[in-house]
Amino acid sequence: MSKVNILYGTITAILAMVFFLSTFTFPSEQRGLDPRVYPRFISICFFALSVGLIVSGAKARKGSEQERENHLWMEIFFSPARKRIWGIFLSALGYVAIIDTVGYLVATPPFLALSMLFFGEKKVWRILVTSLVTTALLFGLFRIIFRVPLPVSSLW
Amino acid sequence: MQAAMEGVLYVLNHFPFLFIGVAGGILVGALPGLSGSTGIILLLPFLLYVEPAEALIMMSGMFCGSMYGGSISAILISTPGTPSAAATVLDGYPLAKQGKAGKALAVSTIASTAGGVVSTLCLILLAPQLAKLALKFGPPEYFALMIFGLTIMASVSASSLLKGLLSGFFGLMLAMVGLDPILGTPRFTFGITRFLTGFPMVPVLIGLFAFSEVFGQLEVLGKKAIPHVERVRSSLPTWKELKGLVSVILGSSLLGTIIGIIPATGGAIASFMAYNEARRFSKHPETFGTGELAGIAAPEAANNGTTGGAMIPMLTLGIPGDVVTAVMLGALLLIGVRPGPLLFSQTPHIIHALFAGFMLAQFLILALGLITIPLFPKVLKVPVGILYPIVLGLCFLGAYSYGNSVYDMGMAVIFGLLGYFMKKHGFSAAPTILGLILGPLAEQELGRALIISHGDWTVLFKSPIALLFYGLACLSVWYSLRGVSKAKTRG
Repeated sequence: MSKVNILYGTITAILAMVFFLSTFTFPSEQRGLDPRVYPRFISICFFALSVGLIVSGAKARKGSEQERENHLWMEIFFSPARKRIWGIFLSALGYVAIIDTVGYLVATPPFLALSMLFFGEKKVWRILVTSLVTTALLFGLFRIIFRVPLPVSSLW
Repeated sequence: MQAAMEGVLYVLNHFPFLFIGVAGGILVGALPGLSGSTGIILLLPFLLYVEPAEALIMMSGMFCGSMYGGSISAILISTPGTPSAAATVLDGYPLAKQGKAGKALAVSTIASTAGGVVSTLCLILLAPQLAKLALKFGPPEYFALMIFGLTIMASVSASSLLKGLLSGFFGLMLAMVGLDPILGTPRFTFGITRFLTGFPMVPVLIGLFAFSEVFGQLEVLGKKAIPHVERVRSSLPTWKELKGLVSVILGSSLLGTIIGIIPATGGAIASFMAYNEARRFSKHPETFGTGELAGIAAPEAANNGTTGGAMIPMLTLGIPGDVVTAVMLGALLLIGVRPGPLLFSQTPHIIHALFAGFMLAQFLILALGLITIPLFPKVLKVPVGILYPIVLGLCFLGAYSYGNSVYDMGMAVIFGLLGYFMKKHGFSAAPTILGLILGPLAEQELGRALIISHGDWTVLFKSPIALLFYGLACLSVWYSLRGVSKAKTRG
């Protein structure tokens, strides 16, 4: 049995059902393509494929590829790489959350420095120089040359 | 002739764009973990601020450069920078171990250039003819074409056909969020105002291809311990060696171009086929795998041969030939260029600039490749601790500059994690992108066809051209199913 396939299949099947049920709220139109037809067709196909994945997951034999995937699935949560991936994901979300408040120039160097740490960089001078120079270069390129209105601090 | 000259002059006047594309492509292709599609995504923030023709030149340079760049790491560290360079490892790395890395890189550069030139000539000759034919298409034909395009989802699936199709339909589901294309009424927005405009294409692309790659690199951090070629001296092949390679290079270039035209094939298939053919026709097949120059020339000519070929269906019909052209198609739609026959008739200057840019890119690859050979080992030693945070910084700016919105940055991060998990568990992101791009077009054309025919569905099956595309779609599905059953038989 492949728990990964069953999990993915269940999530996508629920998504398909939600989409299919939503089509009942759509207006009906007799001329041309009824707005419910295409979304229903896609949702039904998506549901059928999801069920197929659940069935293939339930049928998977021991030692099969799917079984090995189970191992990979466990790795996601218990391997040493886990901390780094989740760490960088959360720091990226944190960066997005604060950038509008503190501005691009203040938020970016610490985020880049943190990312470098997650990627195993240990030399402090390299971290400082890279994060500051990259921020300055990207700011110069996008703000000054391309005139992209990068977020500025709303605090000062 | 005059149009061609105008195209060349345009490219020469905008040479920095071509240079950035080609040099960036070589760099991206050479670095394992980054690929041509990631390279084009990293270009996105810049593409939004340049002219369409300049954007196309940059993307073409990136496409061709990355295809060639993959051979550098294949030869020097036995790790193909891109899947298309996997066959180059077989003879490239043994040659590098014999101290002939310089010669191996030079042969790869020459073969790549030749493959690119042959492929570009085919692009210039065939694309306008196909575009003329496509001008006769109406909504039923376009709908059939989109269905054919969508069947490519099955072929670009990674390990499992079921997972590939599920991934593709996930893209089609995502594409439905927003407004109904015919009536303009909201659908699947679940009361969230942001969803009215649908999922923003750039952040989704950046997330699924670039962020997911960065997350994936964190997992393999410190695991690779590859013997590294530290020093490379420039060493050109002799005339005798080159003469011996001419037939291999020409044959492989043509083979690559033909394979490139067929949607959903790509450089990896072309390079292995060319390698096998070169070995089959060789007088000394036993030398293949031990450091044979033809074993480098064949796959490199073939994989660069696919570049022009893959552009033909993408430019003329709006059907991507492989993952890179799928990303390129998405990028073009974002900058307001819709590939198709009208692109040839309404904006010929863009097409001429592209043709000229594609051809000049090949010669730029030759020049840059041969001059910078001694620098390649240094490029491969760029610490990941510096490279990937910079990639992250560029990705964030790319996502932000699309709509000057922090929401788009958040979307890119979330789709990045989603893309990482998808890859991790055998769901390729390429079908999702195909679904996301082609789904709305298919729905629009279906709607138009039914409006014209007053709701008569048989209109979809009356045109011989539409029937041809349905036939090709069936063939494409059959081909994928056959591949699955063959893989099962092999165990």
